[in-house]
Amino acid sequence: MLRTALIVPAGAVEEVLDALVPLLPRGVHERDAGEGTVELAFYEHEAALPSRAELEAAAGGHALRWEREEAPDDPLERRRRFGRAWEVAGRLRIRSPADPAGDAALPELVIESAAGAFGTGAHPTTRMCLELLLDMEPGGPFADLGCGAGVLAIAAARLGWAPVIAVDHEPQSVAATRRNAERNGAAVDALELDLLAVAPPPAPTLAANVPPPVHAALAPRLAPAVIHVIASGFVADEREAVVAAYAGFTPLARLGDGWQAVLLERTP
Amino acid sequence: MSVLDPGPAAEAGARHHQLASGLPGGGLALSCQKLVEDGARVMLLLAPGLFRLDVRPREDTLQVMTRSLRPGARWGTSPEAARDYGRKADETPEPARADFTFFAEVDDRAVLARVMLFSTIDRDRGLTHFFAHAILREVDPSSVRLRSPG
Repeated sequence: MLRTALIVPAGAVEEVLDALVPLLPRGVHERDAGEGTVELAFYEHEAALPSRAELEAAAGGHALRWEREEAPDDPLERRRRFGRAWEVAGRLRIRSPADPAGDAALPELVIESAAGAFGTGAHPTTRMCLELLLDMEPGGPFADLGCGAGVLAIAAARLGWAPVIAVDHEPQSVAATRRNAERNGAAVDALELDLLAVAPPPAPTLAANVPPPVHAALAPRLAPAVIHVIASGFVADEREAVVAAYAGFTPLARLGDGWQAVLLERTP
Repeated sequence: MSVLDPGPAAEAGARHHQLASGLPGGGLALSCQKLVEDGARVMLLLAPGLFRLDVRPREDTLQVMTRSLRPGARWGTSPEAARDYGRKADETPEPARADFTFFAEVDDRAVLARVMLFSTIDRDRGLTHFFAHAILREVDPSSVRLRSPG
């Protein structure tokens, strides 16, 4: 098996992928290569590879560099060797246990996607919540509502919030959060809680990466102690209604085009 | 209607082992199955001159990229489409399923496609089984109402 990678400017990624993906039945892996560039990599046996001319035509003159090397046939082995970790705002690195560890340049979270728990950090809403979290001044109690695999709670604990509580109505998510917190040495108390039925914990800082109906249910029940809410889990068309549900809060920051994340602050 | 001819669809999707055949009474059926590595963006269906369907499974998230290959074409979906992904494999023996519709006017006529996407995750190996199937038929444009994606 061969691994071929081309480095392209970030602005050309969609155009190149649009032409490259139809040529490659096993697909194309995309990852940030730094300095405004992206690596597009694919694995194929030499005999099945498209010709160099086809690949270069698909790259449309955007390829800054081509690389080719031998790669293991087994997908898990490939992942261990080449990794698929991702960075958040250049300040935090997230990887699965199957990815190789990064250098020590960035703090790193190891998050396992297990038993159907959402929230490993791969989804745009989770990444945007992390970006907003990274821009806040850490400190005091923090609650992750709808914690999934626990990445927001674990990041908060590592950044300096304490105590950190994580709740989810799914037992498998609570179990995944506990495992991931232990793996990352993060002090997180994970509990099973139905946010549609019970008021959320009264932490001054909350993250709620949940669907709009859950925002609608939890927003009116927030304790006066809640000052900041990182709200996500909705798309642009739903943002206005979600923000309106948080009466008495003012949006301070917003991220996203399709999926959205908003930082809300209680209005004095 | 030439865009419903199975020949070009079979040829265009051959590299991906896409199957294409005609339907009784007119129309086109497409299908494709793949075992996809976590993080890879792959093409599943290609209806030349009409649409392309790509997917990218990544950890707990499934991205579905719909491409219209005809100006003015529209995609629709059901709101439940993305909710099952990542859970069915652990909770039931059924695959997760997402349904889409595609509508395009072709000359003075129109094509409606119903696209079904099934997936099952092999979490231990970081692979997802995909099966995509599309039924394309000529329709009366005034009879079509689509729900917007999102």
